[in-house]
Amino acid sequence: MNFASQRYFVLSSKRFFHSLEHALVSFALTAPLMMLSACSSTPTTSHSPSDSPMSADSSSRATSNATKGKAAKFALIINGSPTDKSWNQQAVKATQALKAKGMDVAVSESVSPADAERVLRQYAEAGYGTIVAHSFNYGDAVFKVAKEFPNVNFAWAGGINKTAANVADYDQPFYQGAYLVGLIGAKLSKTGKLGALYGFDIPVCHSMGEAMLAGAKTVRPDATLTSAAVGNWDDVAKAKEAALSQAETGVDFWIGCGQGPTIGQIEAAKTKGGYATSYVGDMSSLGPQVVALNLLWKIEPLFSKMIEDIQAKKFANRYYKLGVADGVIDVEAAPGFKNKLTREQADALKTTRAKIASGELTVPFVPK
Amino acid sequence: MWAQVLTWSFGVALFTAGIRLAVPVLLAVLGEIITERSGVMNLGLEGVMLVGSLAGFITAHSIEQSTGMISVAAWGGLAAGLLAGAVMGWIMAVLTVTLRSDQVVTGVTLVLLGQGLTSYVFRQNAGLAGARVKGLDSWAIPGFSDIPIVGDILFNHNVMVYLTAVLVFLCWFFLFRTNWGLELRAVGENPAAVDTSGLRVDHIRYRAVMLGSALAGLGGAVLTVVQLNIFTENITAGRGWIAIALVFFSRWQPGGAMIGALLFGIADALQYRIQALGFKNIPYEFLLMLPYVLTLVALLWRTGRSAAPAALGIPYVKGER
Repeated sequence: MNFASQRYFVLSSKRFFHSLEHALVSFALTAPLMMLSACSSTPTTSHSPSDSPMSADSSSRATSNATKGKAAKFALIINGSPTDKSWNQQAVKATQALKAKGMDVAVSESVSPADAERVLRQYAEAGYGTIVAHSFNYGDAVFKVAKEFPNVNFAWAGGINKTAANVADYDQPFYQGAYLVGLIGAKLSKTGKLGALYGFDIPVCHSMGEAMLAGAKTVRPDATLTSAAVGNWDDVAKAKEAALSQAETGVDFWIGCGQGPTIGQIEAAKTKGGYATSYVGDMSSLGPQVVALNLLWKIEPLFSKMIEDIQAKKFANRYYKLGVADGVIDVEAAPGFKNKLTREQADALKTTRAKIASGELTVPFVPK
Repeated sequence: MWAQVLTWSFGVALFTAGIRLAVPVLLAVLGEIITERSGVMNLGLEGVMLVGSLAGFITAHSIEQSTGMISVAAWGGLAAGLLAGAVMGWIMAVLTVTLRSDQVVTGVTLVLLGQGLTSYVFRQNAGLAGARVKGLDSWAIPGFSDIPIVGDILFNHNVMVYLTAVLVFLCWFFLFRTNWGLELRAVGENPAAVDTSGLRVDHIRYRAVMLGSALAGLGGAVLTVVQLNIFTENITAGRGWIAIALVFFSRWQPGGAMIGALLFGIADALQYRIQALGFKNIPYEFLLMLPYVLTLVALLWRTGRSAAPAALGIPYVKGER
């Protein structure tokens, strides 16, 4: 070994240790920050609405309780905020109704799909007999964990009839409500041009726009539909711009699919005039003057049905399709619009709802 | 269909919408140019913008509720966004300049911090859900706004749009026509040389990171306080990442940043209008791609000699060669 290469060796090893030291320092510094952000955004396994004596983390204590009252312990995991006035809030509200019936209920909020497996497993180990994963994106995690816990019942918001022996699927037939929205929207709109804005142009969303148009055409044959997709469920600013560009073509009544798109429509309606529809919950506080209708998803009957089926051992491979006929999907005038709907409109809403419920009328499902 | 597109009102609506979409992103791009020119890559822009958007909104909302002074509330909110951004920048600077941690890892951590922190604070304050602020009214510049077409597109906005245009110039002037700018750029190119000439590399980098983050925080506050008047979780929805991409597009030049942000904003506004006009033979996924594809193509066209600061991303260790 000559002098030069020896020197090179010394240098490179020094550099190696230096960069190792840097990597360690970086990690040590950023780890606490990561934990701080994880505490606030990712799984806070909290009990809802108030603390129950047992925490989901204390799995050792939990398993001893696991044998008694399996179905009576109910866990829900959601992908976002429990106060989103929409998809997640409605599910949390349903668990509160279960709690009022005396069930032991736990909710984990803001669980990212990547972290769902861990949270699902924790609940299963803690003796929760029914675990609902309230997002399409939890699918992979649910089917994986369900295999490990054959005695625990899982349900996910797939809407594609993908089930297993201990996994049920439940769909979101918002299109049935959208048909009812169309009846009123056709009358509230001055131009007859209705707008639909989706997070993405997926079947759940696409069928909403088409069903609204079908409903509108029964009372106004010249009604037309303009639909667009934002490409994002959260981006309110882009959704507002998309809704404004629809307003430029004459749209003055909207239905939204996704929380962000709907808030964007409400904001656009305030600027350009027109009316919007709440998505899944009551969003009228965001625009009392422009939110005319609430499209509601009342999830409690769905959860209760699941628990019933579990007790009757009929849960295996169930695909729940509960819509207007079951009182799970409904449309109501927003609080500020209760007195603004004409008697005729209110009656049309009522009779058409009854027709759907009795099976006399089937709302067309147009997925694409 | 084409008759609807080739009208003046369509063009005016398109370009005004494009400018609206560009402003928050452009402020973040300007900030990142200043930061990167000093040799620090702040990938935490998304988190900085989010914190700025919430700080701005909360401040504007509480001033409005307590005093009822709308414009004081709006400007107070914007100032709070600026300040909150600077604080986030200070955290970034402590970690990457003083403690010399890895800039990429630290930046990504800053995004997580911003997302977690804003969600947490927002949910702790039940009064903020559904709350609104009044924001700034649009102010037509007398004289100029009467010019047909151009007046409607350029001179009929809120004050923040004009201020952002001024900031593009100020940013260029600061970087290329002042001593501070020269020192800042020198630190980004050759920190050892700056060190030997007796200037403090770490001080200059602290200032650059904090100033840059302050502008990004302001961009976030513009989004909530001026443009939307509301806050929702994750409201910036990826604008911080777009801004980082546009810094490369701009080749670290404020003027280039303005062109890039406008190109992106107008392309975005255009694709929503194409969707609204009902061109059903184009799949909407392709329309959503349009701004990104355009920016990528423009990026290729602008390649050439690398314009990145030579010391970008490299922590400076005194005395090390």
